[in-house]
Amino acid sequence: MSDPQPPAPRWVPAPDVTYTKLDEEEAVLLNLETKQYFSLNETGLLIWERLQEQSALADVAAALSQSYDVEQEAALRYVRRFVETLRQDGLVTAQAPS
Amino acid sequence: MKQQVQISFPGAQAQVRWEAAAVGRALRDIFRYFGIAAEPPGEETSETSAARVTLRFSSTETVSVPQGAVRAASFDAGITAWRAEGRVFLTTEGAAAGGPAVRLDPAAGAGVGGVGALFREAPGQKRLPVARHRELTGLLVLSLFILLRRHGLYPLHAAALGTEDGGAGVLFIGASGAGKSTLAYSLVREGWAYLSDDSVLLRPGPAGVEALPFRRKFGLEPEAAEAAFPELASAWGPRLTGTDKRSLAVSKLRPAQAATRCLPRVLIFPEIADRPESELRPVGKAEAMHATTGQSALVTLGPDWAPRHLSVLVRLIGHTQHFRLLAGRDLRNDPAHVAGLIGPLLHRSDAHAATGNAP
Repeated sequence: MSDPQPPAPRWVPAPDVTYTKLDEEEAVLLNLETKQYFSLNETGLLIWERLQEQSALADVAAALSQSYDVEQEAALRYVRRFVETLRQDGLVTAQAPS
Repeated sequence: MKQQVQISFPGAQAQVRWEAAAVGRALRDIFRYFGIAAEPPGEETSETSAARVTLRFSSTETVSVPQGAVRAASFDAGITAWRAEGRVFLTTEGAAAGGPAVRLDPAAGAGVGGVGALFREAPGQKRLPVARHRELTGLLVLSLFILLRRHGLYPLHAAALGTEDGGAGVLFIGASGAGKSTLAYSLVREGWAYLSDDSVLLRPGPAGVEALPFRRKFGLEPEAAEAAFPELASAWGPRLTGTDKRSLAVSKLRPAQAATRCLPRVLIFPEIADRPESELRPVGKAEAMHATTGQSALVTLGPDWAPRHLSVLVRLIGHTQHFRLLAGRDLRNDPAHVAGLIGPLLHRSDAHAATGNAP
């Protein structure tokens, strides 16, 4: 019998990142430490707001799947890729599950 | 003997104090060069004291950056901002003790500058060397900007002009060298009301985000300016900032066109382009927000003010149209042409505002 997998971390916005919503379709992220600036489109905005709520990636994917009528598995792959991009840019950090 | 002046803004006052005569002379030179209206202090009331920020410059006190301070931002003239203990520190020589520095308490609306080191280089001279004047200017202006945010005034590196005082306006937003001053003066010549060619304060209000002037005098390079505007040949003020630019008191040339505020309806991001004809290209909100944030240096100063500052910029973006201006040789050959390019945008945006439709 294999050892149980540890629970996956939650990804949350990094503390030095400011989120500013321009309208329902666009938002910008400003990393106050690196001074880098990022734009979010409608999909990115949906994902980011779920991450702010400390949602698990599966739940983020479910929201995406519902909003855009895509398969849950495809949505989850997209969310994982997007969060990895955010992680590489220092915009999200891992939070240990409680 | 203590000396002080008062600079009044809508909804706020800045009181600048000093003790040494040399410091006072240098500060007054800065106020004169930039056209910052520094007046003797008026009668104090509970209202004025509540809306006041105070900045004191000492030639004998030393301001030191505490151990563990976080480097927050870098500015022109080699100025660095640090955050520690809820305060902001500005230095011109890194964090070296004894160097010129300012300690600001934004929550209290007060600051102290230890600037004696700037005056030690040439103690007997009546005027500071140009490089030291540039540092003192940076410390003074940044300190005022940081303290004034407490009263809802947010700085933006932009030229501001309008159809009339208090009317619809256009902001030219861009780094130094983008052509803001030349574009601004071109419009002044065509009868537009003007606030500033370089620095404005944004103030959110019920109708939107207003622009207010911070510095009134324009800064232009005489040789290039006189080629386009020959009437300026005898109008120049001093050179102060260590660049080729000289101060121009537009208020003396065009007193009736000075404006106290405008409500921006159009944002223009100019860049000088190697092309025969100029072009205005619409830009989306995200690009406009990025470009505007880039000219609002204090945004990245710390997480405590960033959300508020950014929300002001978002609101500004929300009630303006945005364009990149690729400024071609046609504008350099005939600056009056800019009025023909920009004017219709403002009238069109006014029509949209009147009907309540988004542009």
